[in-house]
Amino acid sequence: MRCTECESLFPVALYEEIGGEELQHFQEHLAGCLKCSADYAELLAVRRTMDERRRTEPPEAFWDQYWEQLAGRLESAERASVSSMPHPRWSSWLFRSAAAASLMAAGIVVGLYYARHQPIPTAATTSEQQPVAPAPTPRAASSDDRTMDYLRRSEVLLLGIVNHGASETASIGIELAREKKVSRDLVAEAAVLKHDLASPEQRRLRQLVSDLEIILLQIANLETQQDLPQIELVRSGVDRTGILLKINVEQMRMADRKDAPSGQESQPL
Amino acid sequence: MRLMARDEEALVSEAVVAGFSTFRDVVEAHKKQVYYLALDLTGNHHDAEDLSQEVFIKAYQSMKDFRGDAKLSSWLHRITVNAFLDSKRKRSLRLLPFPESRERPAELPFRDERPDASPDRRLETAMIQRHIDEALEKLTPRERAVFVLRHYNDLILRDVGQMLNISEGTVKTLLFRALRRLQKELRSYRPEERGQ
Ligand SMILES: [Zn+2]
Repeated sequence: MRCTECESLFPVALYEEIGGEELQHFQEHLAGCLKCSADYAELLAVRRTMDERRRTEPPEAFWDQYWEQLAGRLESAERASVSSMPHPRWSSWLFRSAAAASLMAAGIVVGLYYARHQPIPTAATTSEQQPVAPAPTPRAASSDDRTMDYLRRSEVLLLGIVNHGASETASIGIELAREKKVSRDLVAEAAVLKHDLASPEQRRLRQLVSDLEIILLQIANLETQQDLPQIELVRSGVDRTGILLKINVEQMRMADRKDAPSGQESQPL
Repeated sequence: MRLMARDEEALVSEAVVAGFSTFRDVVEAHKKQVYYLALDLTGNHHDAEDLSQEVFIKAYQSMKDFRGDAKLSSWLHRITVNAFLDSKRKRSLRLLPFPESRERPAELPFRDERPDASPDRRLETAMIQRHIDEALEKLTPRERAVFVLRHYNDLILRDVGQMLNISEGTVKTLLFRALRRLQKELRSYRPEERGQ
């Protein structure tokens, strides 16, 4: 073994990632070469010195407050990009702890917002305005399953609207035709769904479907050409009501309920 | 959409197996590990705190990139190192010097500081820490990343390469360069001269 070859093995030798014949040759060379052995000894000393480094431990309070600090940053990061929500269920994990507070706040905001801003068409009035498609309500599915599906489709729709880039506004009229159609279908389904969500423990879901209905109606009623400010209103409605968050929370709850008895996971996606 | 759901499934099952039920649990279980790696990389509490939180935000936002075949902890390690290298890259692009450590380790109590140690011994320990920190600061970000992963986090060189997306050969070169630089920086300080 030559000196250069020996030197190239210093890092692996130092961290004991060398073995067998290679190690044997390495040791033989060191035994016979004063230069290499002195050099290697110095690096061993460096290693020992670096071993003396001690990480400083932050005070306990730092760890105690770690989640709170992070949750604050996470929440603002999430608000900044609803689109980056990777998956409803995972997202809900984050919000689980904050869910109760958020829901309350969102509820208040919904009330205030709509009291101040909207002459809201009721389901009855819109059924006159809209050619309402018959609701596909597979009787076999439980109301939970249908709600799950309903929330998922609503979520996709809302995310599409919220993430509609400003550059796309020129073609917005054409593109929104599909969204409007989906909204109308969802509004029509809402009536049936609300009727089926009759039990007291489904009260929250019923409320969510009602809240959604308001936003869906706004979308369904968007007029093709002059509705650019209107779509902004929809967006801010989605934002202010925290409706996406509410959908997430309910999806998480329903998924948990579903998981609980069988232990079998069934993905809504 | 399907793929995303499956990837997340892998994570969910790992999380469930490990007894996690919420993202908060994931954070609670990994915060120290992520923070200490961030501390190894940045060298000061303030930046380590910042980096570690950035890591969890990134993790949360990029769950779809999580591959089920990797361990959650290695994935977080990878995000930490890459976020660190990214931040250094950005800083150097803006031609801003890396800020001086705002908190010297000596300002905080040492983890294993023995209360019975003499004042002399404690001063000496503080001096050693300072020397080491200063030496580490002389490494390039990549050298430092390789060194701390191998030396303080016990990752074998092959895994370090995978984490940094570089060949094992490059890892060895970087480690060697790091060691030589540390050797040079520590030359003024010899353990054997401390009468140990
Ligand atoms: Zn030699």
